[in-house]
Amino acid sequence: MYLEQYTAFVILAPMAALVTLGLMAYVWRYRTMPEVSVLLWLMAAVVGWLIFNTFETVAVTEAWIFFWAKVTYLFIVATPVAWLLFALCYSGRSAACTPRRVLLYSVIPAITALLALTSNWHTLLWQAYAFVPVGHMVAMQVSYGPWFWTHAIYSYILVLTGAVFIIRYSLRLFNLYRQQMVWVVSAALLPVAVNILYVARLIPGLQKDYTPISFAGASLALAIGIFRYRLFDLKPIARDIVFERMPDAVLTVDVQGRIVDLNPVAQALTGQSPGFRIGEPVTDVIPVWDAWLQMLQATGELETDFVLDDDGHPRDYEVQISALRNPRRELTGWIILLHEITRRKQIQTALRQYSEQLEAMVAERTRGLQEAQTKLLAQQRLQQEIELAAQIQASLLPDHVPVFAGYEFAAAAIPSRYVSGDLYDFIVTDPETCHIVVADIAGKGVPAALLSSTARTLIRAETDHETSPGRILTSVNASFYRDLTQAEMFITFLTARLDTRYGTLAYANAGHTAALWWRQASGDCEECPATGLPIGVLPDATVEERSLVLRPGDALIFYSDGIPEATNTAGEFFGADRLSALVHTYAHLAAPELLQRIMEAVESFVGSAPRSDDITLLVLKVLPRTLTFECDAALDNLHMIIALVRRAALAYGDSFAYQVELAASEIASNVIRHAYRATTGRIRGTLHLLPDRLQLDLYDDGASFDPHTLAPPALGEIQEGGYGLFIAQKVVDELSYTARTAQGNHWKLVKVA
Amino acid sequence: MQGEPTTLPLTIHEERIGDQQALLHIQGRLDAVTAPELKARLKGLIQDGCVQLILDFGAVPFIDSSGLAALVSGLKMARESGGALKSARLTQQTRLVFELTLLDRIFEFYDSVEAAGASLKRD
Repeated sequence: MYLEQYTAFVILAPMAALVTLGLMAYVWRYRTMPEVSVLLWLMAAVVGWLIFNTFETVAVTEAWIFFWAKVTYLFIVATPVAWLLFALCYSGRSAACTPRRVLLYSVIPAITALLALTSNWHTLLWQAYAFVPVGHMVAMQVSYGPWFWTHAIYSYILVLTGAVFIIRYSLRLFNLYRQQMVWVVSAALLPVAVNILYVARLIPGLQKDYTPISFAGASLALAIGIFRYRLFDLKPIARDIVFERMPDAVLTVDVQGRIVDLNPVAQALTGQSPGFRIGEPVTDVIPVWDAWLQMLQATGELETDFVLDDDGHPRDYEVQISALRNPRRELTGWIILLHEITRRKQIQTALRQYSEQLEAMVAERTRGLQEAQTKLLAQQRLQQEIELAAQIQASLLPDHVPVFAGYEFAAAAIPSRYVSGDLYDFIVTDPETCHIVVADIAGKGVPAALLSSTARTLIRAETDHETSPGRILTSVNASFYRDLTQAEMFITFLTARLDTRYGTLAYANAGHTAALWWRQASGDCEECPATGLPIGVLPDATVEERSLVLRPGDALIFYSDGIPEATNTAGEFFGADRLSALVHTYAHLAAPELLQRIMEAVESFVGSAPRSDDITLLVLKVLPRTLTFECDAALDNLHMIIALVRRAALAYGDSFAYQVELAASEIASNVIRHAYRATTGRIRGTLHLLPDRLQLDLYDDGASFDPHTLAPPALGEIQEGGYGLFIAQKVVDELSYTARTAQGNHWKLVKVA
Repeated sequence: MQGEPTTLPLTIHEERIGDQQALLHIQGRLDAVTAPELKARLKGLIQDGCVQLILDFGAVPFIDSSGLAALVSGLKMARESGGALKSARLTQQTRLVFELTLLDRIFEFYDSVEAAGASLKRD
């Protein structure tokens, strides 16, 4: 009986070793898979065990038997460790297979191996052994030492633990992978069972340990289980890794609609109960399952969308369902893949909304652009019209300044925009009279320009039949008031009538900036302030008139408020004081130069600051001039002559004018009464108006006389005549008489201012 | 020289106060043109026995030596007839000829017609 056991072993063990080696060759190509590599180690250990146990069995000398027994032990101790590692990897616990852990698991087996190799010198493993002949073979029979049991128990723990892992894991998948699991569970149980039978001597007379052969069988069963019954071409182990780590929820459902497996994502899928739970109907969570099932039975696959309520937050899923079939193509269940697309949906929704917004925006912008283009075209047209208006307005401004002997004019107008609300004009009504007009419409741009044109027309019309500036402006106000009120505007107006013969200037100022009168004699500027309200403020307003007499050397500066209100980058006004200071400094210059200095000063003051207002500047310079007259030497003309002289002399002051008048009256009377005592003739006069003096030359063709022949009057006595020349001499600085010059007898009077 | 007024007229408004006294409001320039008229008027009054004369120069803007001569003539005649000639309301300018000829020492000037009248009563 023993012999048969040994003979059978010697036959079976090499066969098992060969099969296992073949299996190893077969799975070699899958060695990169962790569980396969561990399986290879297990099979190697089993093969070693089988081969050296066979050697031990067939050995004939005690020494060889003992030697092979020791070698065999190296593989015996390795096998449970390899088994456990396989079980760990297979059941998805590869994390427990770190090199450290492997070393830890191998401590006891290594000690056992060491003790086996050194058992010649101790009895820890084998207490006693005997060599018993079995047929033509010799068997070594042993009684076990204390370490044997230690190792045995440890080995059982490893093997059983591995078996439990494998079986437990397999049972989970049992419904789906039944065939595979049968093989795997059998493989797990076989070595344990065989070894227990042997070690516990449960089969009477069993002398030979068939455990290595059972491990070979287990290896075979595992290989079949792994490679023959594959799930989706994946071994459960690989499936499991994918399954567990998938970012998507995966459920497997059996044909009854019960959940048989689910991955952690699926478990965590629903925050509220009922969630997916193994053993529960899938309809708990997916109420439409039955409807899906109908479609699935037709096609075997389904792709659809599904909305799951997660504590009130709807979550969108893309659902893929595939049939699970066993090798006989029988339906065993369904695998459900739930891919969350909430984010994608949100993005899609956001994209759609954004796209709609974008479309709306584009539409709006397009509309805006069209409007802008229309506006732009209109603006261009308006711009052209404004430029045209500016040209017309510029053409309405005097293209040259008036020319009068003894006077010098200069004018400049700079609109802040294309068209100006400022207006100036020179209206020459007769060869000796010029009206000077400056006006500022309260407002700028086109409306102001339109009104300024009207104002220009009105003032010209008024000036045609009215000489008094005060009455002109009063009249302009009366006729313009209504239009201005409607336009909610008003105009400041200054109009002045210059009598070039006498240098008198009558002006009326309706709220305009005060003109500056530079008086050379005093070296000061006087203002020509407003004499009435601006035009368009009151319907029946009157504008007062004032007059002044200009003296050679004087200057008048008319300007719009654009000059004092010119603003520099610091926000300061140019101011009227700067203007008077400039006039003070440059009044000696000719009118165009004076004007240029002022404009330059304003320009450089403003610098890069924006031009805020129209600027209009008029300069009138009074030059030395000569007045001539000629008339019959008759007393009837005396008043006329004297009036002329007096008016011209008024520029030098009232007292001065009176004294000149007095002297002129004496001399002229003298000429009329004495030179032409018996005859008639002409009297000619030339009046030279100079900045610092006045000179009157009187010529007659009458009888000459020697003034030295005249006795001076007896002053303080009652004497009726003879005072004339005396008085004349007293009131002028120079009085001379030259008889019979080329122009006649010549009286020359000079009075210094 | 068209359009200029030719001769400015002289107007004398006469107020008689009794037989011997007259107040003359003179309006206009007193010069070679008008002096003869004034001189004749004064002469006529004095010859009529109206020798107490008050002349109001308030409206006289100008007096030259011819006007002065007429006044001197009137003053002489009035005084020679036992009367007087008082001048009221001359301006600073119209006094000028009196001052230059020192005749302001002989003529009596009053700021108002009333003052001039009062001086007549005192005489």
